[in-house]
Amino acid sequence: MFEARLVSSAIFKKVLDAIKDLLNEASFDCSESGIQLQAMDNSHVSLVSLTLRSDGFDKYRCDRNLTMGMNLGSMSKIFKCASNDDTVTIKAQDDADTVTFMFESKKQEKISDYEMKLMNLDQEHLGIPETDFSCVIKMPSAEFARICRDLSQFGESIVISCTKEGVKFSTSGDIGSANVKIAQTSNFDKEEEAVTIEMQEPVTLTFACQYLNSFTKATPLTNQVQLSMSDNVPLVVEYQIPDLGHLRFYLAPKIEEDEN
Amino acid sequence: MRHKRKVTTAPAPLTPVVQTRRQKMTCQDMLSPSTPHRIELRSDSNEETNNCKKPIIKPAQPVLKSRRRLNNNLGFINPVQESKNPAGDNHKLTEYFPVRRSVRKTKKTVLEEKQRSLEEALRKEIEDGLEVRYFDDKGRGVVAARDFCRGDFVVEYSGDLIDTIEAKRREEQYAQDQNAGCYMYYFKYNGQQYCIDATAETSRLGRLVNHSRNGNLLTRTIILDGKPRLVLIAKEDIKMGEEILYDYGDRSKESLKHHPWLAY
Repeated sequence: MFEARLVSSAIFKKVLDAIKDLLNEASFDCSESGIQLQAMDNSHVSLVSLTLRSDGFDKYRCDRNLTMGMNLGSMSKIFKCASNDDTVTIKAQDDADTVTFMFESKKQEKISDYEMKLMNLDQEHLGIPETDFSCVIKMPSAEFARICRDLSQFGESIVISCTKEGVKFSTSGDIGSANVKIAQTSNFDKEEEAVTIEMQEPVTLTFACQYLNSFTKATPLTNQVQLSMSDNVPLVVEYQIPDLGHLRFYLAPKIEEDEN
Repeated sequence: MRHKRKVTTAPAPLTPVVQTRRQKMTCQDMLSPSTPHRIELRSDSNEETNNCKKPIIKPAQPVLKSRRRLNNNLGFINPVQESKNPAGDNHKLTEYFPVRRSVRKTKKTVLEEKQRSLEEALRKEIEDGLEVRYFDDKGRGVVAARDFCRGDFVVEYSGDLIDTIEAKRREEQYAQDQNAGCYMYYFKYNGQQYCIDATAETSRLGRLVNHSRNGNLLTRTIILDGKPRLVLIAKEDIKMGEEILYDYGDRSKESLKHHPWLAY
């Protein structure tokens, strides 16, 4: 028996909105410790890693580890039927082929049940090693989304270059080129607006705009985003889900010209 | 990647306690010869705790593959091959991270799960699979009512956590009472000496576990909600019906005189 209850279904909606562009379907691995999802997009360039800790749920029970393959489009349709302040309960029997989503309105006067068929997904799981990154940038998530959106008008890829002075996002295309520089903030009053850079050594990497733009769909989850970079290692874009876990995106760099 | 989740790390290696306050023992042993004994944390629990240290995993240096390089070697770029690949001129994640074909859990996950279930057992005071039995020769003891595997949590040595000053005060008090057994368990954690006093009769089973130099349990200190707790862990596989035993660690001459069973 699996049962997970979350008072605010809005968090689930936001998570789904953040990942459904990259993934059509995904396996939710449920265990005592919580719910995990790891899946690559079709092109195998990016990877989504979602962790929802059991202690973040209002009620959590998982007698046996279970993997539920779900179509994220269908799941998203179901969550569209819930109001933001509805309580959601996800239920499944051991070895079941369906999962049930139950939405309860705040005053308990309306209870809706949606049962969804599960899928058998044969997905490749990647072993991701723990890495110490050369640069870890924390910045307002909305600012990062804005930069990605703005720069993607000019080119297909964004060069992210991190030095002591700050982070530079740049691109170039047929019209010309664009550069956005962000410096570390010295003002610590507003934590959610702060830009902090922890740097061991400077890094410059090139990434495809298209994926970065998809990652920024997670912006509504939290105020801050963390970018972790090292040479020859995929970029990690991490959004914390307050009190519940985190959503990480991994993105392989573009093949550099000088690699030819 | 930074690991954000708080992991309760294994306790620092424990040092065996050096027998202190011999005089107290002597006095008390003479006054209450019924069952007093001291329990000392054995050094062999060191091995167990050391094993729990988090393994440091170094990321493997990825092997970069570039299709272009291959194409250049051929002298031309094959547009068909290029467009077949949805990743285009992007590296793939599979070049950096190995594909795990099995659903085996990483060692870290296994340890985390173990720690979590242990903490839950302590919080809920779970003492499953054990029963109290009366032995003609040595009084009460605890017997396994189910099989335990090596490394399983068996029972907590629960009682009042007190410091040495309070322990001294209580020992003096207990020494006045002929019938009071002594259930003071002295141990050291992070360089500080503590004592768990389980003298008061409770429904908990940890205090009733008997002594053996070759017991089937090990003691380990773990921190729960900032307080050290003593847990007894299966040193080997334990079959149903076997009595569970651990080494009280007290080999002092005085104690052996009054309790010759401590030698076995």
